[in-house]
Amino acid sequence: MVHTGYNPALVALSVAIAIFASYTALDLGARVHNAAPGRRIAWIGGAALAMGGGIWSMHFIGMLAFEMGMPTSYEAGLTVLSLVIAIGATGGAFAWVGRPGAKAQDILVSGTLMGIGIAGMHFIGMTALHMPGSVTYNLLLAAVSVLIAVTAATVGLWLTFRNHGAWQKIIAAFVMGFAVSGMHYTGMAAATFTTGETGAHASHVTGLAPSQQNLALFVGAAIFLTLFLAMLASSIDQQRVQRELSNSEARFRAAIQAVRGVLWTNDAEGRMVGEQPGWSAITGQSFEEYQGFGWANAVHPDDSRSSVDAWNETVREKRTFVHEHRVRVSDGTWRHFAIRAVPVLAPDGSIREWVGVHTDITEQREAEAELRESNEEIQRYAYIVSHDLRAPLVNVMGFTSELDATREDIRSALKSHPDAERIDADLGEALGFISAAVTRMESLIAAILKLSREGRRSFRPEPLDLDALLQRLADAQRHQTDAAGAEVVVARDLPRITADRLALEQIFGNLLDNAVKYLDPTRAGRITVTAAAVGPRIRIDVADNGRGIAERDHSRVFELFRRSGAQDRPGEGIGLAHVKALVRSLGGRIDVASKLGEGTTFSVTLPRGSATAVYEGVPATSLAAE
Amino acid sequence: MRRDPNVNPVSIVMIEDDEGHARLIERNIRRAGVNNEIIPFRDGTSALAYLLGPDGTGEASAKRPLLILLDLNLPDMTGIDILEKVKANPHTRRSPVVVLTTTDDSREVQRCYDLGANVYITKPVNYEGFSNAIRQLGLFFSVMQVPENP
Repeated sequence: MVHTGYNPALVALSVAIAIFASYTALDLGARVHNAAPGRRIAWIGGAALAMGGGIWSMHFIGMLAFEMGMPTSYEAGLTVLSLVIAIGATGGAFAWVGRPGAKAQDILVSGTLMGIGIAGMHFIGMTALHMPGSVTYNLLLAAVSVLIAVTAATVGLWLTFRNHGAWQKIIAAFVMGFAVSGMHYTGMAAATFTTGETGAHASHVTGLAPSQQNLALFVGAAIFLTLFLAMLASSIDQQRVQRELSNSEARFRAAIQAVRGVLWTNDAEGRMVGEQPGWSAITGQSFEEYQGFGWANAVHPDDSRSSVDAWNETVREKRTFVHEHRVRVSDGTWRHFAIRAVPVLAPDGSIREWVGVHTDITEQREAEAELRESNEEIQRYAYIVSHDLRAPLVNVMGFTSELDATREDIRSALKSHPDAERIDADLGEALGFISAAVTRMESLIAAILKLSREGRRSFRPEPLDLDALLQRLADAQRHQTDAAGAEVVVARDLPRITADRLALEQIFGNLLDNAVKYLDPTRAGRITVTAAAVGPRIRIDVADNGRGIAERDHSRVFELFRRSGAQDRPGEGIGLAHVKALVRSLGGRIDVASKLGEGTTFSVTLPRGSATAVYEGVPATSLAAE
Repeated sequence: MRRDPNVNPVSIVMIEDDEGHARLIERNIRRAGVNNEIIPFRDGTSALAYLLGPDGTGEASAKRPLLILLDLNLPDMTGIDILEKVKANPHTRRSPVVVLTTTDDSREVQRCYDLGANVYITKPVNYEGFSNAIRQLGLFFSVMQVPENP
């Protein structure tokens, strides 16, 4: 057995190379993911050259550092082969892991192959070593060295294809560098060198052959140069990345100015950081004023509570923020803004910042308010008119009755008059017509009044089970349905809806009532009720096979006091007008599809949620004109 | 019109702009056998001038037992305004107020009661109902105790 030792300077050099090579490989490997498809191969090649070449150099110098006190030399062919294996194994592993769509388990597979490749390189490198005597291996230590190689390769790959900061990269480089060196020196420890003439060259132990030292320095210099060039390429690429970043920042800045509305950014918690030119231009707030949560001071105090609540909920759910509130603009007035903000997420899923737009919708809101106002005015008008029409009617009816009461007096006064009977009959006929007309007028006024009230009703939306509600309405009609020999079929599993129960009962009660009322006596009546979700709304169809409505009457049937077809059923022409007013108040719409003689389908489309405009408690003063 | 101040010296103040309604109301009250003096007013201004006096203090109504029949729909102001003033004045607030109007809106009814109206009656167009309501109101008047205003 040969007495062996290590040259400490070369050992240090080999470890330094391992660390530097690891750092370079990490740096280049990190660029593989972000590179354009054509450039990917170049970065993989660079990383493989740095890593594989670095590991090989480390081993080679580590071998040179080995002092075993006998003349040694290397066989060029095998040495080159070991270098090729190192670069090939590393490059293959990098390419496999770095390909688009690679998964976590790919790292394990590639790491194992790369580790075996490195171990192969080591032992082929050992074979290239020519010396007098022979080498035997401790199998256990050799196995440990292979294990270290596999582990080091796997960890190295994992670190390489993971985004990390500069410090993490340096630490990772040290870990990998030591792991690679550990593999080499364990591999060496597994080898036992024996010589034919024991102790013959013992004097050589103390000194390293100068040629061997020069070779080590040469290999070291070569690999450092390679790594340096790789780092240079990397830094040039870094500059390109930086340039692209600054371009995209400039683009973003230009977008901020180009967008109609106000573009702003907030940090994850909602603080304004940095310059917000758009926000400043609209609100007139200075940098100091809007910094942090200062921007909230420009929001209307009445809206800030709801805004904060909505914001907190959005942050919790990491979704797009959609809201409306009033903001004090630079001239001191309040304006309505619609807000949309999207979270920018960090790779780990946390919110990095918010980018939002405030759009001025004041004009839109004003137009809506005007529309609502004029709508309310029409309703109020209908209400007042119907009341004012009623007042003279009380007189007409009252004095008609008074007249009727005096008929008795007239009759007795005219007792002997020859035309007494005719006069009394004429009087009676006239009074009868007046009464009938007044009664009719009263019922018409009552209908208008009811309709105008529907438009002002306040609704109480609640979650409703449509199946049960519609079935109950159908059951309520059972008597009429059975009498007509018809059936009502309500579909199962209807979607859920949140709406005012009474309003829905009135709407569908009316539609079912109509369907039963206007069936065709020549065929068995069949009425079906179905419902389907249409986006955020629900459409409920009430279809019958009744007498149908002529095309020209399709819109007329919804008008007050208008009826269609044969006037052989009792009715005032109020029902559908009432239904339409209710549906509209609920924020929905009603359509009719019908063919004369075949049947009619009424489709009611309602918002699924309680988007129903609720005018809770119209102020009583609006009725003061009564 | 026969008056019996010893039995029931209460005066009925009728504030009603529709002459026909006023006449029908009076006829039916008389039919119910109520013979108290009825003081008619056709607008709010003159009615308030009578109730609160020319100085507006209400002292004119002190020691004067009154029952007020009030229509809400007046040309110069709403009956609600009159109700508010009557119920806010220490000299008139104890006078019973009967609101008799065409409005049957539930919010309006509530508002009148909130302001201190004692009875709220809707005028039915149906004359049978109308005359019945007034006659019953008349019967009600004949048994009702009206406090003297302080």
